Amino acid sequence: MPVIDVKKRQLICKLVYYGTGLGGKTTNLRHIHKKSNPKTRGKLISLETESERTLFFDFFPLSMGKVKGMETRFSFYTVPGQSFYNLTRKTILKDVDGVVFVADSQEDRFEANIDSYLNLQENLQTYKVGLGDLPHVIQYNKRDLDDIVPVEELRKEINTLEVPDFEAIALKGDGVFETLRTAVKLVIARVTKDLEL
Amino acid sequence: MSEEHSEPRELQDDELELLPEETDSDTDAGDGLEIDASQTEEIRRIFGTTLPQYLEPVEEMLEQILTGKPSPDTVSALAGTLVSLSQAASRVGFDEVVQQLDRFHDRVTALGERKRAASRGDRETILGALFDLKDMAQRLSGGDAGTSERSPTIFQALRGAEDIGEDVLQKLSAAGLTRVEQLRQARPDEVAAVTGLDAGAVQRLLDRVLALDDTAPGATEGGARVEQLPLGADALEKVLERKLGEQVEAEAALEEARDRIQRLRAGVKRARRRLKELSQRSRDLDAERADVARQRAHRAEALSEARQARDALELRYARQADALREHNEQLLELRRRRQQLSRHDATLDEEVEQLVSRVRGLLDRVNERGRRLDGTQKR
Repeated sequence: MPVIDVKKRQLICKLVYYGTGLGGKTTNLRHIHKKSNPKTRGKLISLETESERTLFFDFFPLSMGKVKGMETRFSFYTVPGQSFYNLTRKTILKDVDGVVFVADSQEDRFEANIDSYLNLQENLQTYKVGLGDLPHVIQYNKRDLDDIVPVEELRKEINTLEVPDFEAIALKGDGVFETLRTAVKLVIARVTKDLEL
Repeated sequence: MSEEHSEPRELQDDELELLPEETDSDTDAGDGLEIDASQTEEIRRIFGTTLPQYLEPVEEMLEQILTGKPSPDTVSALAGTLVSLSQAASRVGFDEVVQQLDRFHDRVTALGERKRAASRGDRETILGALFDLKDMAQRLSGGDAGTSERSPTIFQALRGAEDIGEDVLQKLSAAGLTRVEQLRQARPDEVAAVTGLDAGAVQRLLDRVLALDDTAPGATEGGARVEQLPLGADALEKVLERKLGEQVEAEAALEEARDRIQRLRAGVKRARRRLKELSQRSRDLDAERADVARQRAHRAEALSEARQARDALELRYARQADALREHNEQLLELRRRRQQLSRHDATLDEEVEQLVSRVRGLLDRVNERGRRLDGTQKR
C-alpha cells in the first residue's frame, strides 16, 4: 500500500525493478533519472560493488504531478539480482505497489529469468501478496544483442499472467519510458481504486 | 492481464495530470526533489535490515585478527570492507553509521600498525565498537534485522582449504557473500561478476562449497576450525549470548526452511496443475485450430463454386448483351424502314389525290361537253 500524507495531500507509491543479475535494472533506472525533469526528480542513490554491480539497492524519487488532486510521488528501487542477495530483495519488496520485471533476452540467461520470476513470486508470498494481484509489467531487455530468445518464447515461459510486456534496449533508452509509463498507470489505477479516490 | 486479477481501469487524462516526459537533461543538471521523510525512513529500514548481513564478514575477519598476531592481508581486507560499507552508508546519508564505521576502521588500522597481538583492552574496545554497530543496524531496521540464513560462514567453512586463498575469501566477503548457503545458491557467472574472480577460481570455489558437509559447519576438508577468542568475562558473556542467539536463529531458520519446502511443494503442485491446464488448453486450441482449418477449406470450396457460377453468369450475361445489341440494331433498322415507308405512303397519297383531282376535272369537262352536245342536239 502507498504512503498517504493526508495533511500534505501526498501519495507515495513504491515501484521495484526486479530481475536477474546483470539484466539491466540499474541501467533502466539511470536512464529514467537522466531523462527526467531535474525539478521533479530526486537524487539517484546507487550502492554498488567495486565491479559496479548493485550491492544493496538503487533508489531515487520522482514526482508524477497530481492524481485526483493529490501530489503523487514514486520511489523507484532496484534490487541486487544475484541469487545470493535474497534477503536484500525480500526486504526491498516490503509494501511494494508495483513491479517492473526486467528479463535478460540472452539465450544463456533464459533459465535465470525464470528462476528470478519464481523468486519474485516466492518473496512476495512472504508478505501474503500474489503476483497476479500486484500491478506489474515485464520488459524483455537487450533486444539488440546476438543469441537472444524470441519474444514469443520469453512471453510463453515468463509472462504466464499475460501482463503488459515490452521489448527494450535499456542502454540506448529504447522501451524504458514505455515500460515505466504503463507500470505507473497500472499502479495509480490500482491505488485510486483501492483507496476509492 | 488476466480477468481474474481484477484489472485496474484505464486512467483518464484529467486524472493523471503529468507523467514523466523525456527531456534532454542529464545527471549534472541537479536534482530538485527532496527525499520525503517516509522515503528516508524506508531507506533506513532496508539499509538497517540488510546491514547485518554485510557485517558478517567483518565479524569473521575481526575474530581472525583478535585471535593472534594480526595478518596484514586480513587487516587490509577488513579495512577495505569497512570503507566500502562506510561509503554506502554515506550515500544513503546515515552519518551516525558512517562515523561509527570510520571509528571502527581507525581502530582496526591502528591495531594492524602495531604489529602485535591485540591486548584485552584492544579486543574489548573493538568488539564493543562492533556490537555498537550491530545495535545501530538493529535500530535502523526497526527490529527487522538479522533474519539472514544461518548457514556456516565462508570463513568458518573454507579458511585453510588448500585451493582457496585468503584473497578469494576477502573478495567474496567484500561482495557480501558471507554464507555457504549463499554460495550454494549462486551461479558461477554471478559470483565472477561481483567478485572479479576468474571463471576457474569461481568453479573451484563452488565445487568446494558443494562438497561441504552440512553436519560439520565449523570444519572443512583440509580446513581449520575457527579458534575461540580468549575474551574477558563481559565480552565472553556477550559472545555466548550471541552464539545462543545464533542457535535460536538457526532453529528458526530450520523451521523456516521446512515451511519453505512445504511452500515449494505446494508451488510444484500448483505448477503441475497449471501445466495440466495448459496442456488441456493446448489440446483444445489444437482442436479449435483443426476446426477452423476445416471451416476454411469448406469456405474455400464454396468460394470456388461461387466464382465458377459467377463466371458462367457473366458469360451468359455477355451473350445476352450481344443478342440484345443485335435486336436493338434490327429494331432501329425496322424503325428507319417504317419511317421511309410512311414517307412513301404520304407521297403516294398526294399523288393519288392529284390523280383523283385530275380525274374529277376530266369528268367535269366530259360532263360539260356532254351537256353541250345534248343542248346542240335539242336545238
